[in-house]
Order: sequence, then structure tokens, then C-alpha cells
Amino acid sequence: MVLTRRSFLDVCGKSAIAAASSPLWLDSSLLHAQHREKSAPFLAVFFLRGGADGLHLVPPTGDRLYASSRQHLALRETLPFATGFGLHPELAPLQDLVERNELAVVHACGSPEINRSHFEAQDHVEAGELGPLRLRSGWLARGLGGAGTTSPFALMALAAQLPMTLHGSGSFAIGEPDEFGLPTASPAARRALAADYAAQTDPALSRAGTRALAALDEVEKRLGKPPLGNHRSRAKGRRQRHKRGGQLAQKVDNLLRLEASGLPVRAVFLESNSWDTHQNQGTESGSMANSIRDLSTALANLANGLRGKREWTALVHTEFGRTVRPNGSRGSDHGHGSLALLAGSRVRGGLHGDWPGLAESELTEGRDLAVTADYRSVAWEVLRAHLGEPPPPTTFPGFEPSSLSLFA
Amino acid sequence: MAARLREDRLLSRATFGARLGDREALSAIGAERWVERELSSRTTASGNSTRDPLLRNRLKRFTSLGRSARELLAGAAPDDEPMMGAGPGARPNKEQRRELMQLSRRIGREAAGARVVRAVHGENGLYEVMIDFWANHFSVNARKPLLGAVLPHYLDQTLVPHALGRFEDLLLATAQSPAMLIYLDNWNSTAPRTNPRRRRDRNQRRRGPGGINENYARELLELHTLGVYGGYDQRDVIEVANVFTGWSIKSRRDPSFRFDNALHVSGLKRVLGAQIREAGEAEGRRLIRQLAEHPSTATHISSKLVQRFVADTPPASLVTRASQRYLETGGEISAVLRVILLSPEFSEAENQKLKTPLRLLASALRATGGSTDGGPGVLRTLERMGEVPFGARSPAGYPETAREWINPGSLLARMNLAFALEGRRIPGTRLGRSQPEVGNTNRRQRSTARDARALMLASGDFQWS
Repeated sequence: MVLTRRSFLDVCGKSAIAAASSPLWLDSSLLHAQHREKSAPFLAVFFLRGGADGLHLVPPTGDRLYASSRQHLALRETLPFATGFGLHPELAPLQDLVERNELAVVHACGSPEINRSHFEAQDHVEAGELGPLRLRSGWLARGLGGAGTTSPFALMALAAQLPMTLHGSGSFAIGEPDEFGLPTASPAARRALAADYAAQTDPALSRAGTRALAALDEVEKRLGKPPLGNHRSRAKGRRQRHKRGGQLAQKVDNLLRLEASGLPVRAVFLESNSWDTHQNQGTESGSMANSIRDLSTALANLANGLRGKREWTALVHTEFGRTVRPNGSRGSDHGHGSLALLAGSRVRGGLHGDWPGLAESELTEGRDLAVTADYRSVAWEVLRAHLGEPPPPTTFPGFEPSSLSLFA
Repeated sequence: MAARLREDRLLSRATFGARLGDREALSAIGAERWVERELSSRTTASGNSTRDPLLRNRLKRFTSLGRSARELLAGAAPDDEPMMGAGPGARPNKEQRRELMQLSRRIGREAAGARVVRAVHGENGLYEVMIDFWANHFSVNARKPLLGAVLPHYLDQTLVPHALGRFEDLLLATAQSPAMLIYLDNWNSTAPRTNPRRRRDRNQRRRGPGGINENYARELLELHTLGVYGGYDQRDVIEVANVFTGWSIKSRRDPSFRFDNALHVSGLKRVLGAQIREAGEAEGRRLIRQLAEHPSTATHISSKLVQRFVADTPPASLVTRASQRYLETGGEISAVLRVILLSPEFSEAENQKLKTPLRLLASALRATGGSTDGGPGVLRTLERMGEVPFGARSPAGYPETAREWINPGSLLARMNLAFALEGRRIPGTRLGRSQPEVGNTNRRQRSTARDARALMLASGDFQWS
């Protein structure tokens, strides 16, 4: 399309006509969905990028090889959890969940693929496929694809860009709710765009454009218009906030704000990327302990924010675990098995899965915790609990989940 | 009417978008001569082209272009065995390793930036579109460790020289490119190691027991040549992998192609019913030819080209004609393109194509006479919109069809792109002056005009090509 006066007038002309005929372009299905969603079950999926050390989060203190194989990474103080297993002290904010029997750990969980590249392992886990990737979509997008709601907020990501887990979902990534929007478009321009998309002849484009603008309107109605300003200075402010509060805790605060505002949120994806602990991993305190505090604060806040209001489930997983033995830099390298954490009102609390042990003969390639629980089985049960019925077979094509009985 | 539409579409699909004056120039010579001129245009790695004296200058800022990975990595890479870092104990020196990864990423961003600059500023419109098409057909992902460092080579030595040449030459160039060897793990696909004593040496433990890696073999058949229903089975995949054992790279410090006969599976192989006799590296070359000449490959490539230029659901009759031409000419890409671009299907009104994010950005800049430096600002924008060059997550590349690009989140991103461009909020990238006539206007009217231009770029109509 070449820029001409003709096309310019064409756009404006069309806008004026359409704006006059449909002043209210808010998707009525969106409003309708809201009532249904208010009490619908809520799902939060936390993805810990970098390969989170499951042996650090939930140390197998009862394994006779724990202290000798983890050496200086072995924790001396842990919180009580299950026979032979403790919790990292920075998981203390979750003790309330433990007491309520609302925290489950699936240990030695991961992908059956041995893949020690972050990039490939993350992509494969998020896609829910063993490589090579074919579906070009994410497991959560497919798993919730048929969940009867029309709002783009039904499933969304609290992230700067749409993560692969949600590819193919038609949903949004919202980095900062305060910045979600079309910050420099005037109200008149917004109306013109809405009219333009309403008048588009391609139904898919028309619908997507209309819904994008309706969603925007919806967020602004509830949270106010994003401030106009310099992108860079706001990004800086964001970084400073994260430094203070922790990535995940900050995102959960944002999430609860969105949820409380009445947006029809059903499922969200959250991520943090501070789990690649090659150097100075620390023990009861140190760099990984800080990340763990962020995670447990986020989970505890989420629980407090939703308890009593809605049924809820949180799934925490990662792309792989780390080496059992420390490396030469007081950290650990890319390994295999890690764990999945589950929290929620209907979760069967406690330790799940088969503990393979730390004996060298049991370790994958003689160095890494083995995987005894496929993360897809965990995800499948999470989806079933959330949906109230088995997720669509397209969620994990060709995969037969094994029963872990993670939910009551 | 059809002639008009053809001319519009040649500019919007066979280039990254019409610039001021393009339409008139095309009308003056007519579609056929325009297509001939585009098909005979040549551009080089550094942007050298008789038709395009300016591109070269714009690409100059990417200093890694035109230099080998060995040169680029000199000093940063530990001098050791080829190790991509995924294996156990793969970090002999952490500082060096981190430095190497950072350097590699920086180099990769230059190659990605160069692709954006080429798309926006390239004078050889169809040539630039085909470079992009093949980069997506033979997709690699810059996030794989060390891959960034070999992307200048991949763009300059692999994709650019063959983008309008013979498919077989391009296929061979990709098969021997360090980028593809690393991306699909073929560098590490070897005959099983049998010497039990060697198992104990450190390198051996690090690299595991050896054996073939089917990754490249499978993608070669499924994505690069025959297509998923192209008539091969798992035995073919294994045999193809055997043929390509030993196609590797020299080292991490010097990741250039090397055939290592010691890693090669010896003996007779059988692929798609044909025998391939023991011949070392020549086996792979023979197989490349066999695959390039295969009718399934002709159909697969033609179908993808028709989908790129004509319609998301490729009209079967046109695919048949294009693939006949492919077989008649021994896989001459320009001959196939001629059939497609001059076909009646190309100018059928209902055959709409959605612009992907890169095409949207490039067409907005081209339409207004804007510019980009291919720097971090524009790459971040494209990354957020889901189509940064060399960033596809799947070896199948970025999707081509509208269905996969249209959703509320992406539409909002497209609208934001228009306003960000108009508001000059993408560092290093800006729209030009060209805009709807404003004449003698006061400030308020000018701001309305700018709004109008952003609106036009954000409009539904502008999303199609």
C-alpha cells in the first residue's frame, strides 16, 4: 500500500462512518464472560528459567549420600516437610501452606529428554513437546485452548513478551499493567482504529483488532490510563522496583491487582530467570536463597490473595535440574531431574513421586538426579484439576500421562 | 484491473514494500520486464551491487560481516576440541566461556541487524525477499550457544550467494555451513566409538559414547527437501544421518566446515531405495543432489514459494506448474519464481497475504522513505513482535500464514508499532517525511496529520500485502 492522500482519506472516511454506527465497540462477550469468571478456578504457572536446583529447594536430607555428594552445597538447616526431605529455609513463607496441606512437591521431576542447553530445554518444555519442535505453540495454550471463554484475559502472561508456553493462545503478555496500552494514541485515534477494525472484511483480523482495543479499554477502565512518558525512564524505574521486591513477588502483586479489578483472568504465566546458579550458589543464604525468597513470597502472596475467593492452583517448574555435585565455582552445572512445586486449594499436600536416590548408579549419566516423574504428567493433572475434565488430547500429542494423584 | 493488482502485489510481496516512485517505475516498464530485472539482479555479501551503491554503506557499521568466525573469535575462544557447552563438564574456563558467549551473541545481533537493514534499504527488492525466505526455510536460532559467531558467514557465504541460484547449490551450502552444523547438531553426529580404552579419556567422557545424531537428517528430509509427506521413513532418517557423519567443524576457535573421515560411518548406505557407496564426504554431496532432484522436493519448495507469494492455501494448479518448472530446470529458483509471479493466481483479488512483523515494519519504513540502523532498538521491537531475524524457536522457522499471526496480542503490538514509529520511539529507526499532503498548516493540524499517518500504518488495510 503506497501512502497517498487517497488512502489516507479512505481510512479516515471509513473510520468516521463506522464510528458513528458503532460507538460502543466493547466486545459484549467480554462483559458476559466476566460474570462467569469471577468465581472460576484460577491457575498460575511459574516457570523458573535457568535450571532451578531441586536439591536446594527441597533437599533430600534423609538420603545417606546427601551430605557427601552435595558437599559444601548441602544445607544444614532446613524446615520440616516430609520424611527424609526438608524445605530450604527461605521457603518459610510457605509454612502456612504446608500446615494446610496445600503444598505438594513432585521430586525428581522433569523432561525425559536429556538436554542441557537452556534454550532448547526451555523451548521443549514450554512447547510441551520432545524435540524437534513441530507444533509452534505452547502446552498451556493448547491445554486451555478449548476452555469456554472468549476473553483474551482468560489466559495471559505477566512478562515483557509472550512466552512460548502461551504461543498459539491468542492472549496477551502484560509486562507492567501500568504500561499496557497504546500510550501515545489520542482518544480520537483509538476510536478511529476501533472503527477501522470493526469494518475490516477479514473476519479474523477484524475480531482480533476489535478485541485488542476492547481489552485495552477494559484494562484502562479498571486501572486507569497508562501515564504518558519516556519509555526509557519508566523501564529504569521498573528495574529498580524489581531490585527491591524480587521479580516474581512484584508480578504477583500486579497479577492480584488485575484480578481484583475484575478482569476475567483464569490462568496466568509468570517467569523469573535467576536460577542458573553456576557460581556461588550459596546455602541457607546467598544468591539462590534470594531467588527462593522471591518465589516463596510470590506464592504466599498469591495464596493469601486468592484464598476464600476462588479455587486456585499454582504450578512451579523449570527446564532442568543441576548437577548433584558442586562444580569448581561453588555452584552447580546443568543437570537433569529437578522438581515441580504445586500449591492450591485442592492440591494433595506432601511429597509425591519416586525418589531415585543419589547413588551414582541411579544418577543420570553418573552425575545428575534422574527423572522419575514426567513434567507432562504433572501438567496434565494440573490442567484436569483446573478444567474439571481431562485437557484436550492435543495438549501433549501422543503422550500418555501416568497417574500421580496430585489432587484431591 | 488484474494488471494493476499484479503491479501492486509485485511491490508489496516481491519486495519488502513499495517506496516512493517504485509504483511509477514499475508501471513504466510493465510487470514482465520488472520481474526479469529483479531476477537478474545480484547483490553480494557486503551489499555490493551495481544497482545498490547505498546498501553497502549502510551495512558498513556491521563490522563482523565479511569476517570469518575464526577471525571474529580470535583471542576469546579457548583452543580446544569443538565443544558447544551442552555436554558434561563443558566449561574448562568460565571467564573465557562467558566472554565467548557474549561475543558470539554480539556478532549474531549484527547479522540479524544486517538482515533488517537489507529488508528496509535493499534496492534489489526480490533478492532481499528471497534471502529472507531462505533464511526462514533453512532456519537457525541465534540463541544456540556459539551460533551467533557463525551467522555472518551464514548470511554472507551461504544465503546471499545462492538466494536466486540453483536449489541444490543452496542446499549444499547450508549442509556445510557451520551455522546449520551447529544448530542441528550434525557436528557431533559420529560413528559410535568402539575403542574401550579411549572411553576413559576425559574428552571421551565429556562427549559421551558417540553415535549418530538424527537431528539434521530428519530436518533435511522433512523441512529442507522432501517435506513431511515426501515419502521417507525412519530407516531413511538413520541412513541419511550415517551418510552425514563426519560433516563437522574444525574447533570452537575455528568453527568452519571440516569433513572428518574418522567420525564417518563406513559401508554402503541405502536412502530412498537408492544405494550410496562408501565414498566419505562425497556420499553427502551425492545425497544432496539426489534430494534436490527429487519430485517431492520440487513440490515442497514450490508449495512454500506459492504460499509466500500468493496465498496461505497454495492454489494446487500453480504449485503443479511451479514444480514442473523446478524439475525441468534442475531446480533453478529464478525460473520457478517467474512462473509464480507472472501467474494469473498471483493477481487474484481474494488471495490476500498478511504481513509478518518484519514485513510490516519494513513496508512502513519504505512507504515513508524512513530508515533503520538495524541496531538493538529495532531488534528489540521485532523480538517483542515475534519475528526477530535468526530467532525462530523451531527449525521450521517462523510461520507464514495469517492464522498464526493474527491474535489480539499481536494486533495490539502492530498498533503500538505504528505509534512508536510515528513518535520516533524506536532508537535508530524512523519514518521518513513522506506523509499525506498537509500543505500550509498550523501546529495542531500537523499533529493531526501525524496521527493520521500512524493510524494508516496501524490500520487493518496496511496489515495486508
